[in-house]
Amino acid sequence: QRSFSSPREYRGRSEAGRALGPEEEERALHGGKMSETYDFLFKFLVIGSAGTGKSCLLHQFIESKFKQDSNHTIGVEFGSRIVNVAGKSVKLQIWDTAGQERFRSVTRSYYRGAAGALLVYDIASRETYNSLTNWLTDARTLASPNIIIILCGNKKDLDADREVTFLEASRFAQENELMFLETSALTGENVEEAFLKCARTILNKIDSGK
Amino acid sequence: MSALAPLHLTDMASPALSPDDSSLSAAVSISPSDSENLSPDELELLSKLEEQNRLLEADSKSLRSVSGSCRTNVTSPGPPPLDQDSWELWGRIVTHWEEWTRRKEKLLKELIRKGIPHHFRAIVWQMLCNATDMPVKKQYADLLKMSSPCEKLIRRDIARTYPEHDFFRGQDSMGQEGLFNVMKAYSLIDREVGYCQGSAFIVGLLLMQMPEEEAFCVFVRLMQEYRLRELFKPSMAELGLCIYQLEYMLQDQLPELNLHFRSHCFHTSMYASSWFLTLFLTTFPLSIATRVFDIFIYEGLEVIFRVGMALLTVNQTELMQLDMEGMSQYFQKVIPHQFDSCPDKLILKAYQVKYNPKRMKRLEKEYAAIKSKEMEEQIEIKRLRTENRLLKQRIETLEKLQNDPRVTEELVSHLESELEQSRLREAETLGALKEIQEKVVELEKVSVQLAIQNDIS
Repeated sequence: QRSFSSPREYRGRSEAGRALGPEEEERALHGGKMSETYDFLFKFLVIGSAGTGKSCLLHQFIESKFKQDSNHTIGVEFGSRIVNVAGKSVKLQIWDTAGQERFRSVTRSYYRGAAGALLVYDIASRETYNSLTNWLTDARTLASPNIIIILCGNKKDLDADREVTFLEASRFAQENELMFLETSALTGENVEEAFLKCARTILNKIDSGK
Repeated sequence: MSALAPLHLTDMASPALSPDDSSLSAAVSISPSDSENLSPDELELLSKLEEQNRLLEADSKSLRSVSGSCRTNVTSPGPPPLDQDSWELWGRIVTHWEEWTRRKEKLLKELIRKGIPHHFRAIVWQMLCNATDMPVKKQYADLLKMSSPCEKLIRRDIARTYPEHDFFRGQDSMGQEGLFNVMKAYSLIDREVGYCQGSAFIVGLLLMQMPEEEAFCVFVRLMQEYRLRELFKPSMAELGLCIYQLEYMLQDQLPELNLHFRSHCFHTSMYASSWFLTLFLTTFPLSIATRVFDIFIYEGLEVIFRVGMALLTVNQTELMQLDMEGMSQYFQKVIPHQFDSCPDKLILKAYQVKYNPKRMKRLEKEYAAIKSKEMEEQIEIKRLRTENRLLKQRIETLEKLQNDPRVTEELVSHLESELEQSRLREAETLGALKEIQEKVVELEKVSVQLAIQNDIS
């Protein structure tokens, strides 16, 4: 049994139910900065194999431009943005993780309490598509079985080098109860939509009391 | 010549012997035996350094009240032009390397902490890690001809390593090609580690200073002898240990900050993983990171702990006012550029940090014990899971039997007929038993009669 009225912080099933003190509530609502107010706070993960464009998706979503010339991510990085979803202001706190297999031992500890996730592969790399199942298992076992996940086939702009068809990936998404979009962090196509879709679904779930 | 930590030659003479390991807080002094080894030139140099240190320390005290970042009048980004003195001094050091490392180790250490002049880095780094004459160098050309299973993975990161640096700009740049070659060659001689993200930044730095083969040799040494191999192994177990050790230092030296981090679920690994994996090369601008690297290659991973703790100490007040997100932003945006104009201060702060090697060793053992216990538990959990799975399967089979009406009828009628048969068999057996008992009675009678007849006769 969960209640999200006050503070309205939805962090998935695993952390729900803990009452926050007034100070903590203050922080949850204002994110440490007094100017910032929002109705909900969702923790999001961006996961997937190395070089699929996770950091670029995050950067495009937050800065509305393509991140050129950036180092590969070591460990974890953060970003956040307040968005309007169905008349509610929702703060997305996004955790961007390193993609190499062996880093999972490090990044797994950050999954706890995540309400949503972008599961990213590169449409021009079958290898990154093939490892989706592992990422999915991790997300469902370590964050929450009810975590809302959107599958993102990134680098949509590289259609000429495509190794994974839209149809194949959408079937995979259906079988695994994932939402699905093909995105391009380079052009910005569907990037905003991916985050918003995920947030909307979580909000619906809260409203319907599931 | 830049200045750095105060000279505490007595302490540095034998760090293991310093009683409380608060090493660098004592007075500036030079023991007589040290002075004996030094030429007049060097003595003069020492006194210059001391003077610089004094000024720096005074400046740093005034800095303490200001919000962590450097409010400085030293405005010289990039390597300063090398003065004649330093040029001659480092020239002498390189030519008389043996002597310096054997007899003037303390002074050498001090000079390195002040930064190896750019032009001498290539040779000094190689000498410091003893990579000047490695047999593996001869293999290098052959390794390049082979193909490695890690190639694809390496390729993915090449353009994402120092992309802002001219040397690595563009697919055909010298930097990118060399980086790929060295990473590939290494992955071939160390199949267990292969390629690990993070290591390319270290190799990249080496390549900015020296040719491929030499960078390769230095990297091999660093991997083998500086804990790096353990950091980059697939389990990354050493990273866990480093985080554990740093966490302990934090708890010990900055307990309030530690509490603040904990209350915001801000884990040490969130901000410190890259410190260890890239030796601050992805944290600071290269001019500063290279200074840390100078020390690393002489003194090892200790400097990473020191610099890390220095950053936390300097920024404690600011961090205490931020929530998790604010802190992570602060680590990403503010901290990397705090010391842009005054790297010496960073090093000075780092050597004001208490570092206790014995305690670190003890923590290592403690961590190993925790890990092996975890491992045992994992094995036990695995065993229980398997058992659980088997039991579930059995329950499922039984439930299937129970829920299937046909099976139940069959089973009952089968049992009924079996019961009938066994009853019949029982009746038969009872009959046979009765017959046998009767026979026994008869035989007993016969035997009694026989006995009587025997007596009579």
